[in-house]
Amino acid sequence: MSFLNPALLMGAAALAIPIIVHLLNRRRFKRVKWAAMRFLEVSLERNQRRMKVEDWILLIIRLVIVALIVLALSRPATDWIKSSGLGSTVTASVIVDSSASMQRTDQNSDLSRFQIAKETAREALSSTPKGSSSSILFAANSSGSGMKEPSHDNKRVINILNETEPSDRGSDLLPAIQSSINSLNNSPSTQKELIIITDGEASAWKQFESISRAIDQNKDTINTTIALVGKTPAENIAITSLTQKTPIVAVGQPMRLSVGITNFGEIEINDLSIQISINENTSGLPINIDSIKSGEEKIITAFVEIDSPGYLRIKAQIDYTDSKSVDNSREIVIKAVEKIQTLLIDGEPGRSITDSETFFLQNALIPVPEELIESFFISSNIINLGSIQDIEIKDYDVIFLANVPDFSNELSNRLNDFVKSGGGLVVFPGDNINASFYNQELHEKLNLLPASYGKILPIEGSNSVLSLQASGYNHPLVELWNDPGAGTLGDVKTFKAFELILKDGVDSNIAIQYNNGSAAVIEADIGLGKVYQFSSSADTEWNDLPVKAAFLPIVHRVVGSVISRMDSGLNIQVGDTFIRKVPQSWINKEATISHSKSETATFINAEISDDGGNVQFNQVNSSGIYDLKLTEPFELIQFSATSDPRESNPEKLSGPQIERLKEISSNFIESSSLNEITSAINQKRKGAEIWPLLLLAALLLTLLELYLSQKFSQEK
Amino acid sequence: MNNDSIKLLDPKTLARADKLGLAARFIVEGYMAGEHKSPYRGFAIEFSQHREYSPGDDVRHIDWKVLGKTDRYYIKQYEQETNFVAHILVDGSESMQYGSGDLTKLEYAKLAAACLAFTIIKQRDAVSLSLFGNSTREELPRGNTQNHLFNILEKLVQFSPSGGTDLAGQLHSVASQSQRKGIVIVISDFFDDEDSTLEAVQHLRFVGHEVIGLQILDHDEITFPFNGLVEFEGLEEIPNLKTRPTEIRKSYLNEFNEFQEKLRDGFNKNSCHFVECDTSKPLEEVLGSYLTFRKETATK
Repeated sequence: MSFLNPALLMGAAALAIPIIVHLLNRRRFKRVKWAAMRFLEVSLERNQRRMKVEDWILLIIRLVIVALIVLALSRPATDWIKSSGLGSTVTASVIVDSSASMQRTDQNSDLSRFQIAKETAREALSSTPKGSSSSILFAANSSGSGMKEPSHDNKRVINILNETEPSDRGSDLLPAIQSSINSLNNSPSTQKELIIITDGEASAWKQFESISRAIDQNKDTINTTIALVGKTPAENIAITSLTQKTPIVAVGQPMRLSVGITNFGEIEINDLSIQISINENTSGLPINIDSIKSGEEKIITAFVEIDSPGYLRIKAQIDYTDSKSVDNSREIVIKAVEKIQTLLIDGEPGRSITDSETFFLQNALIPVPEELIESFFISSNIINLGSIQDIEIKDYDVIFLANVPDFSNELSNRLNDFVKSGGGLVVFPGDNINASFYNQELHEKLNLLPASYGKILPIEGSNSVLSLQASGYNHPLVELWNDPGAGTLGDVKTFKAFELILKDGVDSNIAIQYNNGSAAVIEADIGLGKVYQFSSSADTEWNDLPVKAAFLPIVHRVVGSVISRMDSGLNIQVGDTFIRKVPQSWINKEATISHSKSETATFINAEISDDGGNVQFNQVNSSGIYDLKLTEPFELIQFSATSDPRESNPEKLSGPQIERLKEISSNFIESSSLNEITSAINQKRKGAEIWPLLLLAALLLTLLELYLSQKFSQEK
Repeated sequence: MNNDSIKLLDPKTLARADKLGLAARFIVEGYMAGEHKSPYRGFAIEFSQHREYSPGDDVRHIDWKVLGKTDRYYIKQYEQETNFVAHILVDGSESMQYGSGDLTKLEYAKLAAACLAFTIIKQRDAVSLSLFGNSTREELPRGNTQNHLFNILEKLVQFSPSGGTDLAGQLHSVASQSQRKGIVIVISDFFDDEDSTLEAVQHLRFVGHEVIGLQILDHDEITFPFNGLVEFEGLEEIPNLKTRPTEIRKSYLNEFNEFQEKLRDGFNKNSCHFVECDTSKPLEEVLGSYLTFRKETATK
């Protein structure tokens, strides 16, 4: 038995009160001179013993009443009564780790870690004494779902627990722990419990210092129970990455994929087979890995043939059974195109085709022999500025302006509309361009260009040459050159270029820069489209890039970037918010979003933005494919959510970390057995408070005392 | 007669007692000049005994011969000097000192004795008075004069109680000393051994006396109305007793009523009157009721 208000046990001194009252009462009497003593003597002789016994009975009852009241005030709690029907009003906040790693089923266990955690949480909530309040939080990489504020409706809390499914999110316990501690600190209860049920994998405790500090600072007021479920598995292999390496995914073209496989287990795995599938259909033969050592990550390249346009679900699957099956496959969504239409507006056609400003561009766009041009996935149409009136620019995906001097306002507006509705615009300067037109009309007035053209670089007469950056390829356009085997852009020489002056407040990025740090290429999202603004020419007049091997991948990546502009957010991590720009046609229309394996869908509305609409969805809790559907007119957009690869790493908390947790928590349990965990939690509980019983007993005894004192004092 | 003596003669009581008179139920040894039948004839002239002179005695009855011989004043007492003799015995023990109301039991007893003496003397009968505790403490021989009444009243006023009671001894003493049949009026709370008392009453009856027991009781003694914790201080050198009276009330009343019953039965068996006087009730009411009853039974 323990006491919640042990200081009040000092009140036991009050036991002296009935004795003092008894003694004082014996001193308070009337004196009467009496003649008929003979009758008194006889009566007393007959009743003396009975009266003494009655006195003792009343004194004992009064002492017991005082003792019971003192005990009740000191709020004793006992384990004798395991029922939740009595006493103790605790405020319990239960945090269940709902991250992807909790889906693991350990060896010799029929239940997954999440199922064990749920059962444990249910037991912990069910065994709170009547009148307690409780909350439940499912911690992943946010403050978690569930019920943050403690509620007296224990059934509702347990219902939430029962209905919650594990997520594929990554885990970070800190936000949930901080949220629970705040709620508990706001609770008036004297018994506060924080119960954290997790698998103890290091990834969830990545903010260990902050977590341990938060628990430590509140340990005087909050009893923290940490239950670690699950054992370190001997083996766990996972696909930790699946990325599209081909810049443009087109029908009939092979697509290159990069698949990362990591062995998180303790043993080496041999003869591992990986199968790629497109829309659930296997594509090609499985890829075999002879062996992968413990802790080793292998990156393999796979090629798949694309035979249909639209959204495609590409899945890599390992043929292996381990403790966590969810990370044995990874799925992404890509959008394949059938043909990309490009329009090249040549500002300096030249006498021969090789002299034209767009010669190198066209060759880079369609680098195939003449007989294959028709079947190639990019087609190009080269025109002069004068013929633009006859062209419907909306039929093209990307428009290149190569050294075009200036043009009418009408064309400016058409180009502006084209970009904002999803088209791509690539602008190359040259000797012919009217920089002030570009700056004033396209940059200042229409905000179509992210930068204005400044002075000419390098300074004329200095005879110096600019080189493109030799390292630090952070932008997706040039990340290819992070691989030393791919060469470098540092050998590209630029003799003349415009300084690109970025405008504040415009959402733009420097894609490529010169070695002196000034921008060589700037990209910006404008409306639903994309603009690439080069600082130098598309031919070899100002630089030698067009004749370098790097030109083709840069041009293709520019085209690919424009084409996939709308689809850049198709592959996100579980827990991230899915954001998709949609055309005006989506505004005020009914749309739904659902997981491909779920029978339920969430209604969603596009929010109006400057350049159309936005769809946002922040309940991405499971890995897999999601369908975003517009009902009328029907439109389907698919996207993929993949789990945090760190969740596949079963590395546990270190020894010192566990020691630290044992030190700051009031109850630390490491077990996979449901019974062991629940009994350990209950044992540490102070048990049910029995003060209501004691007060009831005191009340009954008071009534008995009143009855007896009345009865004893009756005439006899 | 001083003021205290006059106070003893309660006018209301006296008026009622006077009206009713005190008639002996049995034939007394007196002549018929009074209201009582007597077996004797002629005036009471037979010498009976000498008694020391006390102020108020008629000087005509001084025995001059004895004075001449012994130089002491003695009164010659004669038999049959009255119609009947009433011996009034008043309990003067400490237990009679108790009183929860305006009067103590002794004051009530004195009042009763005075009224009875006044009434008896007024009807020309003789009264003797004895105030006793463990033994006789004050005594007046019989007499029927106004002076005798004054002496009785004076004795009563001046008497203060002390010591225990030997009621039976007093009664036996009266029975053995008195040569003439008369009325013995015992005014007491009778808180003595009841068997001995009743034995003494039987003795008195045996020698021919009529016995009237006037039991003076305080109302509290009859009802025992106390509450809370009470320490009872014994009035006759009995150790104090501390108790909660409510818890023994029934037992006390049982004991008390049993005692009363025994006394009543004993007096009845001896054809004596036993009158219970509650000091909370006016004396004239108690005495009047009894005298009425007595007159009615005497005429039958």
